[in-house]
Amino acid sequence: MINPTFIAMRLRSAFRTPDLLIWIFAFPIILYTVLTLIFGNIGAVEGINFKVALLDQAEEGTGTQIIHSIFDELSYAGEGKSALFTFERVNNIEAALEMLRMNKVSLIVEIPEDFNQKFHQILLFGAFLGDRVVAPEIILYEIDVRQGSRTARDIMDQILSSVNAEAARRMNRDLPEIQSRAQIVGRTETFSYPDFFLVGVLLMSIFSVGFFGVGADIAWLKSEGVLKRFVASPLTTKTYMSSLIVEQLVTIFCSFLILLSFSVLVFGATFSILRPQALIFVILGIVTSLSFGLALGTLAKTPRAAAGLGNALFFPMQFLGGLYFPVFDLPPAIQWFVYINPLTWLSTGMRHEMQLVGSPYPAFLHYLVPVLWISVLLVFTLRKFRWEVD
Amino acid sequence: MIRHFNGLFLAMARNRYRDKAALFWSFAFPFMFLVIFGAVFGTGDTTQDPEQIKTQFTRIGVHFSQSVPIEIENKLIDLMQLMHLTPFRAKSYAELEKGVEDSADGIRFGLAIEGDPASLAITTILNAGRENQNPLYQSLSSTFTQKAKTYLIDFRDIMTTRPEQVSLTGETISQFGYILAGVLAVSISMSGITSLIVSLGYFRKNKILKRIIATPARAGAFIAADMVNTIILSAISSCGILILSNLMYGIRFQIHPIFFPVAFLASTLLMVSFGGLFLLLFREPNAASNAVNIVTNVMIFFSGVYVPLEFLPDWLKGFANVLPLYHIARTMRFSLGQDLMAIGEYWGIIVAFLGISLLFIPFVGRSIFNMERK
Repeated sequence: MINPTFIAMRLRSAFRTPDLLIWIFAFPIILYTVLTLIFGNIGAVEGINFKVALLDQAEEGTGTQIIHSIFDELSYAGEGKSALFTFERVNNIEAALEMLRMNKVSLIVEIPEDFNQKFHQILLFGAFLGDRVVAPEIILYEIDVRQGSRTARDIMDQILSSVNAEAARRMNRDLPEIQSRAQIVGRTETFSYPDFFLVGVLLMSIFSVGFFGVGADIAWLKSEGVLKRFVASPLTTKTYMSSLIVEQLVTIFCSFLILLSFSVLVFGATFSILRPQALIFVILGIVTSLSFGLALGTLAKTPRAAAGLGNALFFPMQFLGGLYFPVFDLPPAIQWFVYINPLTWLSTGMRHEMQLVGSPYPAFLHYLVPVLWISVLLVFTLRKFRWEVD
Repeated sequence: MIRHFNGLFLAMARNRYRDKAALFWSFAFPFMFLVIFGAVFGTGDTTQDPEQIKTQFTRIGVHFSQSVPIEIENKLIDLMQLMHLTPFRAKSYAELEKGVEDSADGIRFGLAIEGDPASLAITTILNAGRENQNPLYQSLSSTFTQKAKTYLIDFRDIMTTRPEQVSLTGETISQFGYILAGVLAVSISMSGITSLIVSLGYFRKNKILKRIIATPARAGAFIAADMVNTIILSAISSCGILILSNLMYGIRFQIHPIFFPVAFLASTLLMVSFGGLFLLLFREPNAASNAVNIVTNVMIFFSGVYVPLEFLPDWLKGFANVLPLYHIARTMRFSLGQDLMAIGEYWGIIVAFLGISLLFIPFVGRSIFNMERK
């Protein structure tokens, strides 16, 4: 049933096509690199530097000395590291606001003129005069709509708040011990971005083969009359179809191998995708993708139509399938698409089996939705497939 | 010349109208972008409206274990409210985890507080799905922990901080509007960068260019007709995005009557010349189209539209700075009243865009026509 000569001929032809080499082999690597570099850095303090305009209007004094020593510490870059904050002194608030608005700095820290005076008052008389003495203020100017500015203000606020705790400690006040830790729900302890994006980019690559390899290829062969000529040759339908599938499997396997090696060697991804339970989803993904490709090739009359239809389907499928970022908490008008999208279940199932992200859904749904799609698409292809354009 | 231009312009317009792929990239693709990214990223609660800022609270889930005395509970709840956090109580730790995972009541993150007055433990429960905002929530929780230490013992703070919101333009700006201005930049770029590849590239491949050369029409008329077509198509698509943003998400852009059209024109022409350079480099339109798609995809991620560049290391920020889409997104935000930039910088970028376009578009056109003549 499988014709090795025909497969070898098709593979030679495929591997000589620059489009295929770019989209199946090069593009996944580029996309994977970009995603891992960008999202892998979000939340990591290392390498991040916030520029701050410092407007010190106070005279020399104890209070400002303490603040400046904190700022000196914050702007110190350790060996091979960058400082969390870089302070730039400014002389007036107008200049500082201009810098903030123009995004030259993320934050303005203003130490008002009466800072030291109030600082001394609260230290000396705070205990006796109570609310009649006002604590000195440091004003933090931010632009809320810019996430960087919000984060910079929040970190600065947190650092400056620690001054009070330190003062209380030095005044021999018994501070409660508060331990803090963070826990992330919706993903497991073994989460890593290189693994997370490996799943997303692999599925993207597998579905590219289905949509733009199989679908567009069948449409092209049909529109050029090549398929009709195949029928006239000793090649049977079964041989043609099985050879087409084997050819795509070889292509996907090569792409998978290249992507996996790259992610492991360059970004330190693990081999957890090779777990048998995760591999089931890789296989299910391949079958789903090929089913989509066959249906697309059946439906489209020209390769351009196949490409257009493929793009129109593939674009929302990949972005609303959780390949690159989790999709939940969406408006109902969009959420239904997430639920019927086979990529949602394939990516969730694969990540769940790799113990990257816990799935909030019953496990059988991970298999059921893709299997339903495969059934519907194959029935459609078998009923509607024609060897030539009508 | 004008007659040739008119004829070519109409022929090209008809060709584009019939080209389903071109229509998809010009209209359907930006629309999908708008809907998908609007739904995914447009749920932020950030505004620049001074009145709203005063009353803007972040919803959080809270669970106190039974060992925490009621007076400590009350004090911590007070502190949360002082910090503009609205607590929603969960009956158990598990309920809190579930609530955070499902974003029940719109909560953004959770705080589980355990222990006794002398030693407390605060666990910040973050949702993996809010990866973009989690650093902010983590930081908010750390500030809460820090402040709680002195607040619980009624320690009189020796200094305080006062946040001041700075308005960018004096008008209401939402985080979503900020993102949508970037979406428009992406749409303009996609439309421009594929323009010469579709016209010069495929016309050459299909021998149509050869036939045009044989007519009295000049290369200049052909390029001009193509440019005007691209600009009109892109303008229709951009207007569609602006109207849909308003209808679907209630975003009102403050469109500057000069800055916006100028930025739109300069950005489109820059991306047209960019696409043309790829065509010259690769010759074969399919190869050029592939290369352009890859470069555009990379540029989108580094444009600052979806991922704030402040969170990237300096070397990645430097890389983003040399990509044209980053500057197109900035000029778009500025001309739509979603961000500020120095007027001098704006005109500097525009002059650079136009300079590059005026240099490269005729060069690409002439080179392709000469190749065809040979």
